[in-house]
Parts: sequence; structure tokens; C-alpha cells
Amino acid sequence: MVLHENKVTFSVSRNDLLFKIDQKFQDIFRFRLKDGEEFTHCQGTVLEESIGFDFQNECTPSVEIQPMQELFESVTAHSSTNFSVFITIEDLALSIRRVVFEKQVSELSQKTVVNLNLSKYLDLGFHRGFEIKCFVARSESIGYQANLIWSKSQVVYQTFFVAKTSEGEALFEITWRTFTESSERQGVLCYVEWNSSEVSSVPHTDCFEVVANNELKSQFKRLENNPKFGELCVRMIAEKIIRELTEVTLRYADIDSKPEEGSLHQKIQVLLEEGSMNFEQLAHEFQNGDTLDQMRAVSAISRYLQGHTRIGQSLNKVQFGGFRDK
Amino acid sequence: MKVPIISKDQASVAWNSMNNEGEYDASKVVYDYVDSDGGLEVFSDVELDWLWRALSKIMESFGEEKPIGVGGHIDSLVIEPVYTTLQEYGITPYQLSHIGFWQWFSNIAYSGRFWKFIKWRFGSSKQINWGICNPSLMIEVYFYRAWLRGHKMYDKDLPDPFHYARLGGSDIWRSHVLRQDFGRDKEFVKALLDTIYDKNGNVIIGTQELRKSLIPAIRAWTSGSTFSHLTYQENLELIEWLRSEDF
Repeated sequence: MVLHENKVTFSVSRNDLLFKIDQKFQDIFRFRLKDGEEFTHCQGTVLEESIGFDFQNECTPSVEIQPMQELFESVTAHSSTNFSVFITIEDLALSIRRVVFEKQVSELSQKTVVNLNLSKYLDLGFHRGFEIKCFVARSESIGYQANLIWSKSQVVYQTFFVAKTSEGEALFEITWRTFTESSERQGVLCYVEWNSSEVSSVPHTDCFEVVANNELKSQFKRLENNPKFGELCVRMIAEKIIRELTEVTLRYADIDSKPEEGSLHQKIQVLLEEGSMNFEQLAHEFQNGDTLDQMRAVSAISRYLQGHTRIGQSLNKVQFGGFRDK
Repeated sequence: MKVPIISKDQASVAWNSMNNEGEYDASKVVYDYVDSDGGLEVFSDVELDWLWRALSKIMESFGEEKPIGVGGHIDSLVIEPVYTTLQEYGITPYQLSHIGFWQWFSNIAYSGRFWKFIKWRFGSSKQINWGICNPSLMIEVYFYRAWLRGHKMYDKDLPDPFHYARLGGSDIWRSHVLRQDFGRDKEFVKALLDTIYDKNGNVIIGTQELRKSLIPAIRAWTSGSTFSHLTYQENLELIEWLRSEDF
């Protein structure tokens, strides 16, 4: 719940699956990553490896499907002849998904093992891993709203298994640029170059670049590797950049619409929500609040981001010479 | 065939030299390689000659001072020669998923001519277009995106196999296809593009309706559903329903 002056906004989260059947169906699909391993029903990320791992040749994934006709009919009160089990595989680097298995629920009268030979998908590479999704849905759509489950696209139950590389997505990349002006080559370390104020609608890479002085690159690397002050200095520089990105985003965000996937608005919203901060409320204060509201929002952001980037801990770890009171 | 790959730092050095000096001496660059078949052949500038001539023709047809608003058209024209060249030499999707290849291709290959093409296309100095970024941002790499559009949408059964790869502006592809979960499903993407554009490629659904209405409706629907197993026709009908007042 968010309180803006006299206006109260409630947000409600809902379970979007059509039936609450997770518990009853959890043993229907089981997964194993390699031949010879035991099947397990734990879903989500089952393998995380460094970039360069050869998923295509190192993994031989299989899905085991248990007969579910009776269970399905008793839980959903629908005839299993109208529903099918689907399995898809997705290449996480190429973002290409493919249906690899489809069979009517009523035809799965015995335990079935689906082997997914990754090497046979010649048009996929699995450079950053793969995701296997197993789900139950209608075999064909029926008339709109003839039933709660009327569209083939609606998922009755699903589970997924992911094997992927462990790299994360950074909020910003550093562009090392050789400046043409001599004074800039000597005096500038880094800055945010803004290219668009449409923080809610265009990809974040279109909004800004963090430009750093290429002449200072080797010095920066030395700073980064300095065991005494390096970490503190780099964290302080990063915090300053993130603070600017946050403040500008809050100032220009379109708070009446949902942000586009991959926009700066969406990314900063996620960052703030990690600290239980309300993006909409802060943006509202930035855009519509009085001067003091805006100043207080700046303070709140600064406080949160210093904690988030662990500046205090970094200073605490610095070892000075001489006596240190414990 | 092996393909050369370089690091982000190597690409950055080449980029700055190209940007400031207009050239880069790559003779001392030490390459790594990604192999596909254990053979000794290396993909090099020789294999890129035809591609460069195709891209040169595109540049010539628009001129050095190209008019404003032709970027999307240029991006569509680039897809076929890039995809065809890499396909012809049997470069695998695994090799092409490696950002190091595109860093080499965009900054060093063919004496920096592809660097110059990107500069001509954008005019800006955003290094991400040349592949100097984290692998998770690869869809922003210009020539990778061109190849990926071809790879995802090529359909040999169509009169023009590149029809759907070419259809749609860069913004549609970046924001509403490549970044979206539903953009992973080929038949859905075909149906979406045919909803947004008519047979001649003219826009039916404008940016505002797309952003404020259709895309949010699709995203809302996918919270409890998926398009991955639907045929083209089923996707088309579902999108039509999501656009209707009944939804």
C-alpha cells in the first residue's frame, strides 16, 4: 500500500494459474541433466556454469512424465482427451524456443521418458545454456469463454528446468573513450553521457552511456587492484554513477504506464525494490513534490545506494598503519 | 571452420584507434578461436569480400549523407547478406553466440570496413553497436542483431525466405521482439508482425497503441499462458482477440 497525500493506492498480487494444483501435480514431471543420473522433481535452476561451458555436448537432459489421466480429471473435472502435455526447449543466448514434445494426456498411460539430444538441434548453440519447460494445456481452443479454460494458450500446470551460465547483467557498461581535447584527457575520469530522456520507453542502452577516459584506463585498473583503497574508491565511483542514473530516472519516468522491458525505468525500479523502496512514490516526489520533498528523496536514495554498494564496509576493511582500536 | 574472437579490451583499443585515427593496425593482435569441426580452416577477411561488396552497394544507394529516417530500411537490407555469408561458410550458431566474434567482426575484420559501416549507419559513438559490451546485451550489437533476425525468421517455404526477418523497424525488434519472452516463439513473432504491418509493410498499429495497449495486453495474458505451442493462425486469432474490446 502506498500513501500519496490523500490518495491511497492498493496493489494486489494474484495467482495467475488457473488451478491451485501445484502440490498435487509436482511429481508429474521429473528431470535429469545427464544419462545415468536419478530423476528429480526440483524445478528452477539445476546447473550454473561459467561462460564457455559446452552445454550442447556435456548435457543429455531427459524429462520423465508420469501417467496423469486420473489425477488430471479428478482435480480439474475436465476430460483428459482435450488436453495435452507440451515440452519446449529454449536456447538462452539466441532466445529461440521450440516445441520438442506434444502428446494428449489420455495417451500417456505409462511412464514416459523424453530424451532431449541437444546436439541434434543444429540451428541452436546453447552458448549460455537452455531452459526446458513442461506444461499442460488444451489441445485445441474452444469458443471464447465457453469454459474457464477455453484457449489453447492457457497453462493448466507447468514446471521448468534451467541450465545456464552464471553471468549477470550489469546496470551499466563503461565506454573507454580517448578524448580529443587535451584538457579532458588530463582532467576527466568518467561521466554519464545522456542520450535520451525517454527512460520508460526505450532500451536503457539508448538513454545513456558511462564514458571513461581511455588515457586513465591502466591507472584505473591499478586502482581496482589496489588492496588498500582500491575497492573503496571503485565503489564510491560506482555509487556516484548509480545515484545519477537513479535521480534522472525518477525525474523523467512515466509513472502512469508500465515501463518497457529493459528500459532504465524498469531496471532502477528493480534496484530500488531490492531495498523495499517504492519507485512510484519516489518518482512522484521528484516530479510533483515541493522542493523539500525532492531534497528528502535525494537523501533517501543516497542513503540506500551507499548501503547497496557497501561503501561503509569497504572503508571499514581498509587497513591503516599503526594502532587500531578494536 | 574456426572463427577469430577478441576480448572487450582488444575491441576497445581498436575502436578508439578507428574513431580517432580512422584506421587500426591489427597486425600484432593475438586472436583466440572458436572451432566447430576440428579443421584447420580459419574464417578471415577473404570470406568477407562478397559481404563487403554487398554492404558497399547499400551505402552507395543511400549516399554518404543519407536522409533522416532510413535507418530501419538499411537494417532490413543488411540482414540477408550477413546471414547468407555466415551460413555459406558453415559458421555455427554456437560460434555466432560468442560476443568475441562480433567484436572482431565489427572492429577489426576487413581492415575496419565494417566499423565504418556501423559509424555510417548510426553517426553516433555508442560502442555497444560495435559489440563492446557485456554478452547479456548482445542484441544491441548491430551485426549480431542483423544475423539473429535472419536466423530466427528465415523460412525457406516462403516466396521471400527473409520476409519476416526484414519486416519491422529496429525499435519493434529490439523492444517488442528480442527483449520479450513471447519474442522467442517464431510463429508468434510472425503473427505479431502481420498484426502490426500490412502486406506491403505499412504500419497498421502505431507506436502509441502498440506501447500503451497491445503489448501490455499480450504481457498480461502471458502471465498465465504461453504462445510457444500455438500455430501461426492460432497466434493471429489470439492477438486479434487481445486487441478487441472483449479482453
